[in-house]
Amino acid sequence: MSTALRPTSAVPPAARARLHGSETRRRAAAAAALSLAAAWVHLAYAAPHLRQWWAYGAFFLATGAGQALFAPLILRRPRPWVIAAGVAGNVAIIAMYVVSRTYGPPLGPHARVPEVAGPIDLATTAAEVCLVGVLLTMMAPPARRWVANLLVAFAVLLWALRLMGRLP
Amino acid sequence: MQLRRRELLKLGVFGSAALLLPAERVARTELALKNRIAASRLPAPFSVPLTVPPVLTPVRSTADTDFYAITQQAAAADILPGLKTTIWGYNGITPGPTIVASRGRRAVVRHVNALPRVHPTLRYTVWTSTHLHGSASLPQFDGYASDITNVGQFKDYEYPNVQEARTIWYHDHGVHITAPNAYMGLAGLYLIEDDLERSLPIPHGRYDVPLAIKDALFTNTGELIFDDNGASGMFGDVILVNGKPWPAMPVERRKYRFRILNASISRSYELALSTGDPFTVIGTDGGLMPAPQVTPTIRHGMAERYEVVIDFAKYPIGTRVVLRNLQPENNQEFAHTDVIMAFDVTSEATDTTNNEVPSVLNPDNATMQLDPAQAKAARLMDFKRQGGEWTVNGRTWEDVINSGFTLLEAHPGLNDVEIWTIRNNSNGWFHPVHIHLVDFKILDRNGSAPAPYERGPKDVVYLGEGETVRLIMKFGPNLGRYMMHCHNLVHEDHDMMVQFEVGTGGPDPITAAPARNLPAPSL
Repeated sequence: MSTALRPTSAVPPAARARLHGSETRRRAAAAAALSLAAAWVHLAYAAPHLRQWWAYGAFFLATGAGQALFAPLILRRPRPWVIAAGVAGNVAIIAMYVVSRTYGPPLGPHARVPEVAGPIDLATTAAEVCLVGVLLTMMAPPARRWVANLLVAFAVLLWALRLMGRLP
Repeated sequence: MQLRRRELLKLGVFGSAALLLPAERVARTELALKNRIAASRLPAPFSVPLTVPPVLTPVRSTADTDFYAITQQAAAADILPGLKTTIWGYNGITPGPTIVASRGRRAVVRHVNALPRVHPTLRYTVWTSTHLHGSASLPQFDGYASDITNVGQFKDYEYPNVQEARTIWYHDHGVHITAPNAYMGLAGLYLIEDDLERSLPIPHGRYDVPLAIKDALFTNTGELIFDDNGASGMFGDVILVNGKPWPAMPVERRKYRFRILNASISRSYELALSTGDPFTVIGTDGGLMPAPQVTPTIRHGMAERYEVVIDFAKYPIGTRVVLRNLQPENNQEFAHTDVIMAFDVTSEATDTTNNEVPSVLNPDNATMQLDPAQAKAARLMDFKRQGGEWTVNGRTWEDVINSGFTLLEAHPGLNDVEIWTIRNNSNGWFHPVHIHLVDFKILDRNGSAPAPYERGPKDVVYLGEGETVRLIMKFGPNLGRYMMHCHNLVHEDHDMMVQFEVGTGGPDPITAAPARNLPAPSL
């Protein structure tokens, strides 16, 4: 069973296009808001990370700047490549987060020492997961299926590594 | 277009990995805290007998060197009656076996890291670095935090044992994981003896008893709980002495010498006797004091050692003397953290030799003869919380790592005498400050004379709330880089640690003698 919107033939094509357009704008706005929220947290925490190691700080600055720039981009140009870049970027950020809270950062003065997850970073990651979900809804069905399968494969891999004890 | 149910499910699986895997470790600690053993299931204080760690036998000895083998390994220990506790011990016990060394005879101690690859609850990758606290070891054998031994590796530590008789200890110092490693049990005593100490008529043999005090939290199945309270400190509700909860020790009506080590991660103690009688302090971190000091209480920070004599001759048989903890500020208090152990006077003295405290013990101790006029430099070391981090002069061990281990807080020449002012402007926490390599003399605290029990050679100073302490020390006998840090091990891990270098051209602590992969050649 599908929960997808099912435009009926009773709706004229022009009205259908307007409906679709406003739906896309609403989703782009949601994606922009989520991206800005995540960006704000990353930028707010860039300074303490910069103090730990320049590369940690640079990662936070780049992440925050990327997410901040993504917001106007997705609002003004909700093109497939922008959506795909948003999904890829945020999945990469989430992956780094999972690694830093389980195995520990791969490099730097805290290499291999896992950080403790806190409410702010968990909330930020939740926002990024939601952002990926919103972006998925903006993709065309074939790409969406493909990306959803990749996401689940990635998650299954992480859980398998954890259950096998390879991911602390 | 909305998501189909199947796509939502896939996104949910992805979200679960992204959120639950990171949260799992926190949840495990919270669950463990919820499962903390009820106070009613803990043994009543003084119901368990005191034990003393065994003395380690060398695997081989030559004319001038003793060789020891220690394996760092997990084991199931009997700490709380009826329960097993997973510990990490040197040779599988905690405290580890005691090494007794003679001044002038070298020791080589092989440490094999056979610990689990991952901590059972905190899930960090395990490595160790073994510090012989109080030994003037070469930099590569000093347990430099970043000189790590991974699981499956070994390292042969060489100890010169050239210093005067003293109570020192070996414990883990692995970078960023010292607190949980030591909390799991990686600590043991190491005693250096010499002719002077043997010649004094102070209590020896079975009347010379080490007491390693530590606190811990347990689940209702007996497992250890590590909770650092947001990187501020780890405080347990059970006081262990030599690995036993609130033990009792039968004593004869005579004098005993107790070598008291505070092996806690974050808890300081204020020791006192329930009878109100004073302790006679004969030794501090760096060995015998010039003269004994009588004091009713001892404020005892982490890693400090005090050697005290208690005379039980004045008590009738049947008396119980409790070693109390008056609980200094900024420690978490629980129902029975105000008591440590008990001494039960059970018999007349069966041996009355070495039953004295001479009025002079070690008058020629070089550290205690240092004079401020000898100082070539004076430095300020500011221990403070800054930007959410524990820092020394605003710097951390991260800064040292990021500098490629070149960042120095001080660079005295070999045999230079310096005065360091150690300052803690905060009223919210205390810091027992440990300076590696050297012994120091405490000149003053907040402008006043140090406490009577501190008037001996030290390597840790209790830097209390709002206190400023001046220390004088001579840098040697080795060249090289050494650490200085807060011995609240949680603070140390969260990076209240810096380094100094004595002279130039000393061995590199990381590359001069790195750990090697097993199998190890025979010692």
